[in-house]
Amino acid sequence: MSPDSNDAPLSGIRILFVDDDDDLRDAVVLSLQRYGAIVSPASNGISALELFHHLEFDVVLSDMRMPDGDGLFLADSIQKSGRRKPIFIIFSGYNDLTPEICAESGITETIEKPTTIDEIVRRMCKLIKRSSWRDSE
Amino acid sequence: MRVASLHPREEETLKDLARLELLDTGPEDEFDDITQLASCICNVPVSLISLVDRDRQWFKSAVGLNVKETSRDEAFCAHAILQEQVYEVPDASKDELFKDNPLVVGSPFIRHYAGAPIYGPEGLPIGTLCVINTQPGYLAEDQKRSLKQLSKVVTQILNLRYSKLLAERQKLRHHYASFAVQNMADGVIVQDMLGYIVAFNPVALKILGLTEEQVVSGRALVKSMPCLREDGSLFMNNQHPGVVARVTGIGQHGIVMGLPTQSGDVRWIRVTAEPVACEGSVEPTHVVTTFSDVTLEKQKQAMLIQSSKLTSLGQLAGGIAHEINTPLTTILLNTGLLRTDIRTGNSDVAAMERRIEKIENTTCRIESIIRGLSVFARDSSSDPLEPVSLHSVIEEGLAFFRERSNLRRVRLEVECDSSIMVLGVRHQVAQVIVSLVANSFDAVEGLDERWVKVFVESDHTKAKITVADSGTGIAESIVDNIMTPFFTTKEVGKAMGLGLSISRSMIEEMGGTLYYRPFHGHTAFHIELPCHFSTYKGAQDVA
Repeated sequence: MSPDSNDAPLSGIRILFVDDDDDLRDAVVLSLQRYGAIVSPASNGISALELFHHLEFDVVLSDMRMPDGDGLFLADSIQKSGRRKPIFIIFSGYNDLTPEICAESGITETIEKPTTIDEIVRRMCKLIKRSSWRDSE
Repeated sequence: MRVASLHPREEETLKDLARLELLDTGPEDEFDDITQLASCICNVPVSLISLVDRDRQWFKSAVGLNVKETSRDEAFCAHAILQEQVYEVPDASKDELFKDNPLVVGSPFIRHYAGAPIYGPEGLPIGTLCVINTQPGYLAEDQKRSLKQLSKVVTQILNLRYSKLLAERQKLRHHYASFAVQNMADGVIVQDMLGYIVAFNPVALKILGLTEEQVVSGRALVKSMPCLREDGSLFMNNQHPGVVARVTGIGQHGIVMGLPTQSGDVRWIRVTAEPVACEGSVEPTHVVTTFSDVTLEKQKQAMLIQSSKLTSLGQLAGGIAHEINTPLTTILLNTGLLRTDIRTGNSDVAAMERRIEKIENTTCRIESIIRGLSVFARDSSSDPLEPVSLHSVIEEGLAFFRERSNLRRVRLEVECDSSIMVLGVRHQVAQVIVSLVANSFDAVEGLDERWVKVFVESDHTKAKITVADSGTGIAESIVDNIMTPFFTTKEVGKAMGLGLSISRSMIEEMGGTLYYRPFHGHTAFHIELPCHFSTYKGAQDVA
């Protein structure tokens, strides 16, 4: 990573972040912002989907289990909308997202709780680098 | 022709006859000898032992006549049984009652008839010994007397036979009863009032693991055998059901006892001891103790409880991971933020303190989750009954769900007067309530309206804890099944609490009840437990 990307590796990246836990959501939003990301928070799948339809995002990062539209619902809806975006699903405890389900619903990667912001950022950077590498191809 | 009137106790008479089981049997020398003798003494060609049936007279023995029966309407004997003495018709052709009788007008052309009644076991006249001649005539006094005496002999033979018949029946019954006792699946021991064993069956020996010699010589087997109660404590010698039944005269039913075996295992039996009185005694003379081996049953039950606990523990482990990982992530994120704050020399101390506070609060969240789960962490099956404050049990048990209710957007309402005390096993009461609430949380997931209510009502003798949720009740088709072991409509790995059947048996063991009854159209389970006495007393004092 360049010194620049070390300071703000997610600089300018627009992230839709969805989690129903207020404390967690606040901490994630602040942390991602410190890495340079532009973060739009939502507390459930339905309101996230509304944001998704109105705004442009580079990455979607969502909790799995939530009332009013869980992570899978969100991924499925985005998939159906035809605007494919990288989707990260964060799960806790039992992971029922098999690779088959992920492929079917357009889920790019899963991240298990508990996790650190470094881990989230590392995984995102990896994906961004990969896609930019693809773009340059 | 005049038909004889019926005996005033006609039906009983017919029953008395039927009891002898003589009708339509073959000829027997014993009776034929008597009719031979009668015809000889009276010097007439025909003698009969005639039994008067409902519609006929039937001849057990007949000398000089080839007919087995005639209709009752024509029967001279039907008249003869109506009086005790010898009934005599000297010339039937001149007698108003008989002159147009077919047996007079036609074959066998009866003229002279004399009959003496014979009696059944109940002393009712069932027929006659009679003599018949085709010539008119009279019996001399001694002939009449002989006929009467012979009829008495017939009566005696009949009654002897009847006694024999009864004895045989009785013997057969005893035989089958003993056969049944010897071959039944339960053990049986009969003791006299001193405790000596007077009878037993092979299964009893097998279940108790004793030899015949040990039982025959042993008085009270119990003395040599330490027996366990289901809770693991020992039975005192005078607490054995057999002893209690003997001493108190009150039957002891369905008592479960554990007998340690030589291999170190415990054989569980369910015992019933019943004081019984031998014929002719008012006071009990013996105690009959029956018992069956319920070891397998107990093992299955234990396995069921254990496996339910294991599954619920496994599920809880998954649940814990899920509920705790979120606050853990919050903590990690906040420490990460603090670290960059320190590295970059952030001087906003107030913001950093808020972050530390957030970490502390989140740690408390985790702690309360774990505290709620500790309810399941210990085996309380042998805990004694004790006064339990429902308020504190519910508050403690539901700490976990308060956390969840925020997370799941489920409204959790708890209403419990802090003075209500019940008699129960604290941890088990908590486990059952937590299980029901866990079920409710699962049930309302995905509903538009999500609430769970726990409230307690008490009338000072018992307290009713209701766990209701916004679910729309349980389908009629499965209501009967929900309390049966292993019944679940949930996917494997989804159920969290103890099974309802286990919950119910726990509550019932505490002397309470657990049942389903909708609450204003919503799903609701109710637990009733006896109130602790001092609460009741206190309430009265206030009143």
